[in-house]
Amino acid sequence: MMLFWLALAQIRFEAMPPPGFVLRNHATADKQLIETMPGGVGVFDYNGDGRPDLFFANGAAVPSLRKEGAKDANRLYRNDGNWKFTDVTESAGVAGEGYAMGVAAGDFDGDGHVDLFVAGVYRNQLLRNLGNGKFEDVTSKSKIKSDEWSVAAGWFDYDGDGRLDLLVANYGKWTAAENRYCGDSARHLRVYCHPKYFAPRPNQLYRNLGDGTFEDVSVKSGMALSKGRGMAVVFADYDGDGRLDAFVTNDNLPNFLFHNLGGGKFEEVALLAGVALLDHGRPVASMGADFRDYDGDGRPDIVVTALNGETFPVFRNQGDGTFRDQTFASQVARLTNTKAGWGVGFVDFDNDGALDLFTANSHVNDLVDQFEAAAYLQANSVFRQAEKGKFAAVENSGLEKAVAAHRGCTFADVDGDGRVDAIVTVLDGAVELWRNVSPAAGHWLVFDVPLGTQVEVDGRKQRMMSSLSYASSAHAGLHFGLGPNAEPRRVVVTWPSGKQQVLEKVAVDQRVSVPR
Amino acid sequence: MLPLLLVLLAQSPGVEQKAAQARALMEQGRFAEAAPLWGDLVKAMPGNPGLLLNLGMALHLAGEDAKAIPLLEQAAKGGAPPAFLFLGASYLRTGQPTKAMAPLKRFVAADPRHVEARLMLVDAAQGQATEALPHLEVLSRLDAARPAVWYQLGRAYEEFAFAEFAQLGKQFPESGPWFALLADSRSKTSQNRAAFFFYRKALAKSPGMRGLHAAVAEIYRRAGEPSWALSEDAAEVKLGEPVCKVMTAECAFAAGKLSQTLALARPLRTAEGAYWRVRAYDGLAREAFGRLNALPESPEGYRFQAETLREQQKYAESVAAWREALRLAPGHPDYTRELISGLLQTRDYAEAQKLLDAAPEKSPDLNFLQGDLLLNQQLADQAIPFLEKAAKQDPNLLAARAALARALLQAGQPAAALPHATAALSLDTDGSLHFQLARAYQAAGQAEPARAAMAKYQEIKARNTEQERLAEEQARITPP
Repeated sequence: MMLFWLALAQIRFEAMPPPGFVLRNHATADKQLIETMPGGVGVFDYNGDGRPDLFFANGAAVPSLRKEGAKDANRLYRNDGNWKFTDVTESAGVAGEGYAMGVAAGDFDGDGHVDLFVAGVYRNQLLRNLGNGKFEDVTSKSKIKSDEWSVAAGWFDYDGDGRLDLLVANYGKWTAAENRYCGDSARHLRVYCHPKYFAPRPNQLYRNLGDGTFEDVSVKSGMALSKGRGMAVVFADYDGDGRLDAFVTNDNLPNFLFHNLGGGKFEEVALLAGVALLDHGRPVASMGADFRDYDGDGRPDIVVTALNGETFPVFRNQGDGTFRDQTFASQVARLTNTKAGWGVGFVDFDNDGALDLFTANSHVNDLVDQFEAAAYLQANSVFRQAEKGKFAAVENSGLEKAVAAHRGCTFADVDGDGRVDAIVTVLDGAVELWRNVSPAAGHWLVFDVPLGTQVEVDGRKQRMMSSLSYASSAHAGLHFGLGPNAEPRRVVVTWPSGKQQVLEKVAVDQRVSVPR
Repeated sequence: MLPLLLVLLAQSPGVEQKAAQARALMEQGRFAEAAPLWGDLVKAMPGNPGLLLNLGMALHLAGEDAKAIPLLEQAAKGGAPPAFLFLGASYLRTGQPTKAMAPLKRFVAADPRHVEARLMLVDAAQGQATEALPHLEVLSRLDAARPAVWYQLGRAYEEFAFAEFAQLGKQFPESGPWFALLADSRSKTSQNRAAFFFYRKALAKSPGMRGLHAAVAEIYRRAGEPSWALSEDAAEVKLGEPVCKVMTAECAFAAGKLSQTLALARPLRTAEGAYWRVRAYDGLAREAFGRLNALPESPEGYRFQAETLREQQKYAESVAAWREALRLAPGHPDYTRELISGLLQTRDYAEAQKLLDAAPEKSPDLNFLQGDLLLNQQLADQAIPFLEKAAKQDPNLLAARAALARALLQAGQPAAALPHATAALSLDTDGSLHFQLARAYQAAGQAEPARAAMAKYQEIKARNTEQERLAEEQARITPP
């Protein structure tokens, strides 16, 4: 019966009218690399009305890196329900400064209101949610620096002190003045330079001191020893030692897996753990990532997006501190070989209890078709986990209708119908809102829990973390698809402190706020 | 066709009739039918060199080279020039180019204006420029309208230039002329930063060398800094023209007399002598390619274009040129292989597959390309049989063995991947093959060799990273 039901399950999206945000990247004839890399998006409930709101990072003029008026503003849209949004950027005070890229949502001060960190090109911003519809720029007070080209960031409590700390992924050394000519001058085809021309930089780890300030512990923690070209940061406790570890993708360099040793120390173990590279041993243009248990064995796995011909690597956690390259075995290699991806997420779109895979696609090089059989503008993809650990293409998902320069993406049940929707940014274009209209979708539960909390339903464990995808964030609850079984469920909640709480007979198809 | 040599020592009416019949068949091009008649005559008169030659020729022309060779070897003992020609041709067709050299040389000595024989000698030289060059130079005079001659002549001169450059590097490492040539090579491929770095090194070693300041000025202009170029232009002018009361290699080169440059530089045992030899050979190569390009379109002309574009990493344009070469030489196996490689480079898998499907028989190269194509499309299971076949056909085709190791590892057969990954390690320049080997050992549960291979990967990686860092640090275009 279950198999029959699974066979019928489909994933369908419908494009909804966008709220008006256009991602301005300020492309120049000089082909400055930063222009092709913005597009972070965050989804979180800024006003506590139970509906996920949308925040978009936006570009600025190049090379001044100054926002030129309202069109360059970062934007916050209040979700008024029924796919209606109101632009509250001005009243909330979040227009921001500089060339912004990444978004990280998290309640860093523990006041119950989700705050925002916005990563950018030599300009980071920490915006404290005051709980009255307004945000306060507390960057300088917080002692968070703006001395790098930061692409992405994520909140996690690495030291178990109950406060969210911040990891900022930095790309590389860039100045407009040092930009070189790359491409084919004879054909006047100037392209974005290869990442190798941007010297790798270390990431930055900030410890939350609990008084509104942060201490830069990059050196002390051991993280500063590893220099890369960071593009995404995601967290999970991959070895089950009770401490959150961090995975950072690196563009054309081996990825990093920072194993949390406890005592405030990290060790970079990606190579030996098997997630630095695919088994062929060559680095790929690793961009977005997600760190979640896709095959239901209770251990968090990793997916990464990359360019055409590189495939989107899938690393399966073997439970002994190492991962296996499952890109080929999971079918993802074959499905993604002709795609270039940025945003990515393991999400159960058809509520069948198995996580599917969504990728926001486009090549990095807008002239790629002049050099190889590849397209710059691409449609997004969704791959359904049709059998355990194996993904399959979804025909007529609706996504194929929009071919564009997609970048960041995030996921949330925007309309409260129990099906997870997708929000995708478009370089120099309007944001795409993809409403999940999958027919015969199964039952579901969404848990509103703090970051770091683990929830177990039907033997499947998921941890609430907000950072995912490419430079993006999702802070809109932990979603479980439950399949056709409508019986109430037993739920085990493990709080960040380690304390467990069991909820018996939780009715399906609802949003659950778990009292601590 | 050569005149038939028929020397019948003992004639009989039946023999004469059979010989006439065989001759007639040869004239009609019916070599396979003529061969048995010549065979009967050889049996009737064993050891007759003329009959042996005729039988050998008939078999060669009928495509039966393996049978022809022993007969032609016997016939050649008689000293008849055609026996040498056909023997050389049969050796070539049976893949024995080294053996072909001696008989072909004997034939060319007797008939120096024979174009086909010299072309065969060039083929027999298998890219050994020393062997091929004298024949190519003669051919360029005998048959100046033949594109293949100019193509091969150009490549032979390039070989000589390369060999001279390598010698210069050994005898006078890091000398001014050596840096200057290195800079020239980078400048030609628009690697301006590297060229700038090496020109500056050359100037530091040989400040009086003409052309270096002008080259630096040109790089400044390319980098959009024309004002920086002015002082370099002035420095070049200050060096003045070479004094040519006595002809030197530099003077001859400046006058565009490349052969004379070579003649004057040849006896010199200095770095400058080697420098002018490299420049002269390089100039002669450019001249040959210029002649090739001046001829009506030809497969070799497009081949040259395709190879040049590939060197410049212009893969899409290179593919277009290979297509043109194949238009003029349909089914040419080398051009087909190169086109498939180019299509793989540009990820045009569907087109590459069409060409592979059309190939009548798959050589080790084509089996490798078919496997590589499938592997590139993430179809490792389907790639494995082709790669296995290529590796079996030619165990020294290490690229195929590396691809096979990767495919087997991907398909979850790490133990089977191990011998192929190990065999291909000599190809590993970026550490990736050692990494694959480490992953294969790891997956096969062999922890210790996995650690050793991973350590080697890290060693190669660290070395490469350091070299790249140094190159990047050094290669900045700075003001004069």
